[in-house]
Amino acid sequence: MKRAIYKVPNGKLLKILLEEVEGKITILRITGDFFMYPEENIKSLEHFLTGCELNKEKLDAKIKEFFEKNPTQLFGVDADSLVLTILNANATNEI
Amino acid sequence: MKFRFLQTGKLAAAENMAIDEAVLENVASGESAPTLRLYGWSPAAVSIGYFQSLEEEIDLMACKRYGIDFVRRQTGGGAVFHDQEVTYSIHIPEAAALVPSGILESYSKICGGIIKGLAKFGLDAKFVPLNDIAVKRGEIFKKISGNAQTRKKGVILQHGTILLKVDVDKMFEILKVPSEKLKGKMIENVKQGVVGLNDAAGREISFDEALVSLKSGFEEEFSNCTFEMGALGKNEKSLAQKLKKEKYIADTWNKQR
Repeated sequence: MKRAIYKVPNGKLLKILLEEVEGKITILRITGDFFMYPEENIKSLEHFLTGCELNKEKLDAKIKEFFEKNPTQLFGVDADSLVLTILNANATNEI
Repeated sequence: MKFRFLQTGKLAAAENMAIDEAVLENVASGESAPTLRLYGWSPAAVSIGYFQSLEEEIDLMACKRYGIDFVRRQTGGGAVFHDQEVTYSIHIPEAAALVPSGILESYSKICGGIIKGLAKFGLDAKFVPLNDIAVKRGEIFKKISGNAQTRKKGVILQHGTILLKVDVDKMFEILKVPSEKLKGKMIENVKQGVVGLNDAAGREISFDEALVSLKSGFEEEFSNCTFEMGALGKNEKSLAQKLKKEKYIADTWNKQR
């Protein structure tokens, strides 16, 4: 498992737990003390990003697509910090 | 508009969260009136936010050692050590238009009740977005209350805590920190930045005294409403028991993330 923690500027603490195979997400868990409405969208988002290539362009597009399909309000975290922290996790060595 | 006012005393963590959900369901179905509930926690407990991982946030061995309970909330936000405090939950149908529809604005409105309650003790408190209330201490403001909101089935549920006393050292034995290296600094920051009602007011304030003032604060904030003492309904009681057993004490819920 790869991990990253990111304190979103003026926001909350975001934690990413990641497993990848050949540069694609196989397991993703997004945790932290942020707020998301509706809350249940977190699971669908994790599921939606599974299989996504771990590069900024693909992640940006995929997250944008998710929020377009599933209206979601975020507080203390945003799409950019999600992408950044997923990529930070991917850049770490396995723990 | 009539609010039902509930005082449920100090209860175990799973029961407290089960009651909040059972009341939400009954307010949503129209069976129960909009509700303000004031309560406490016995034994002391830690609640974690919906999006948090129990094992990452809480030292479960330390909880066991101190007899401290734990539960995952249906609301987002951070881990809270519920010890010497008064907790509230408020359930308002969105259609009642008693609070603004915007999430941030509705936090501010509901927190207004607490701010007015704190004013009863001569304290100058303000809402600090997104979800905190801070009280003026000399030249600076210190956090005295944390709040969290969810919206389900057309009902706004906001719950939060008003600290009476803070035991920061114990809090950090229970809560895990992302970095052991920074732990000392984090403890110092909390000691500097957080205050309980007793210290803020400069005298001993009991749970019951704080409760009375908070109720008056909500009555002032929602001045077009009346608050009538009530009790949990039969359906709420049975649903709360079911939710407690099947959800809030279960690992499938608490350790889901």
